[in-house]
Amino acid sequence: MIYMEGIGLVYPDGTRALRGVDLHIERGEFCFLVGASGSGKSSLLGLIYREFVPTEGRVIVAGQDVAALPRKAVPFLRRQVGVVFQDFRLLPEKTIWENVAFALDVLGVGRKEKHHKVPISLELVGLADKGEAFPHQLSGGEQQRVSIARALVNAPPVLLADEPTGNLDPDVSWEIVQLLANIAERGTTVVVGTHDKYIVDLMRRRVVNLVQGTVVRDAKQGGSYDGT
Amino acid sequence: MEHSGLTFVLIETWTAIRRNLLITLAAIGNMTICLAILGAFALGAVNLDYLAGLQAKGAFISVYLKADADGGAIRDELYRDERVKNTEFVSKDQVLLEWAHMTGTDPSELEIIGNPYPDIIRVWVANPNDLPAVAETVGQFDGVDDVQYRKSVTDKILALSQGIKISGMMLGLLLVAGTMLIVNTTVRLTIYARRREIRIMQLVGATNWFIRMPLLCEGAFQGIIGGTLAATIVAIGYACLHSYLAQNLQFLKIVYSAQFVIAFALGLILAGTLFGVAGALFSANRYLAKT
Repeated sequence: MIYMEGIGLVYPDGTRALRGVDLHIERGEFCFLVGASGSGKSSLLGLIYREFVPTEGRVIVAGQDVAALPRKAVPFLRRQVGVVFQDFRLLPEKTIWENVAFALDVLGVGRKEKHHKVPISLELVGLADKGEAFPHQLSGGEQQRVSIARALVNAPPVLLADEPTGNLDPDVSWEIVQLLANIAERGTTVVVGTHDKYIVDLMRRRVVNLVQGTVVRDAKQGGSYDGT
Repeated sequence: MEHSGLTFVLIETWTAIRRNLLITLAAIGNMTICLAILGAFALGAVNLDYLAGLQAKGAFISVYLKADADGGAIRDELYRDERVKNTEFVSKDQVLLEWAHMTGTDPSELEIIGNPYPDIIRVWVANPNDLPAVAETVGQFDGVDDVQYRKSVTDKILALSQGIKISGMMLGLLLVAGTMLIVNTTVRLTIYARRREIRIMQLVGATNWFIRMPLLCEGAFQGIIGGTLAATIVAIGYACLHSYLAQNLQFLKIVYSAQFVIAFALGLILAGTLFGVAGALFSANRYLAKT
């Protein structure tokens, strides 16, 4: 589903974010990207949804060469890649239902289809009864669930989560990561960038460790944060 | 775009207008003033051009014939020139009578004065700009003694008409640029206020055109309202001017009809809309190119 070969990324100011990254993530796989702040986790995730274009190497996502995509084709790639962030990025003046529906609104999806998909997505993240609430009325964990529901409502084959538990306490973080793992079990490829050692060690899934923009370890199964 | 997409765009537009209501009103006010000045200047230019055209169309060449000249043959030759629109043969007796009429001389005194005038052919050309060239051509015909036309007046009118067009265009460009700058600034503020939404739209796969649409609609809205207000102000002012001239300065003609005023007002609204959309497009493109 995600294939990276010889990836290098240098920002316009000359900062090198990634160097010689080779990575292959299968359909329906759940994978942690771990590393300290500044190790290149967000940059690597950004390459997958074409926030950045690699300066070296190739990125293939769902069969598409991301770097070679013309600018106007980028929105169509992003419809296949849901993204979740640490700060949730919800619209405060919209209800939960509207926040999730927003992802369909901007694609010009019809009313009927929207009324079919939004409740399913909210149900999937366990917020079926919170549709009328506003983001400020929800806890951090619930807001992150809304953000996941919005990322999933269009049924993308890939879901990226960049520090999804960064603003949450350990119990809620565990629930969110469990939810992401459940989503992967339904066939969605899930990549989670995190430096939450507790969660990574508890999950025992594939762990790709980045240090200064280079993959130093790729534990395919039963991985831990620091390889112990 | 499906129906729900269009509804979404309209709702987003209205939300943006409501959210920046004061700024939007200020932008519409500025736009109204700019478009009203532009409209008034355009009307002035149209009328001065019309007036200059009337004057220039009335201008003719006086061809003074020699005593033995064949006036008919010269007129025939003149009609072969496609630049010539019309000619009139004026016998020397008629010329003298015209002179007497113009100066208020008693025709009975003309016998004492005698007739110093030759026969004349008056030549009107289709395009006033051709006056000098046609005069030069006619001057070389056999039987033609002299050729005169009101060179200085005609040239001045034509130069004035040309000057009005050029200065009107330059001022128009400045005002158009000003109008677009106003919309551009307002839409930039909207973009700043909506940057979070726009970012989410980009992340969930909205096309750039979908992101632009509410911004363009906002620019169009400002243009339509500004244009309508400006058209109303200019139309009322023009009607008042027409009424004043009709009562007090009847010799000064301006272009005036219901059709003309309606077409002009619609043109101003359309111009406002286009400037609004163009200003918004510029602003949106600049932002989207950066993100």
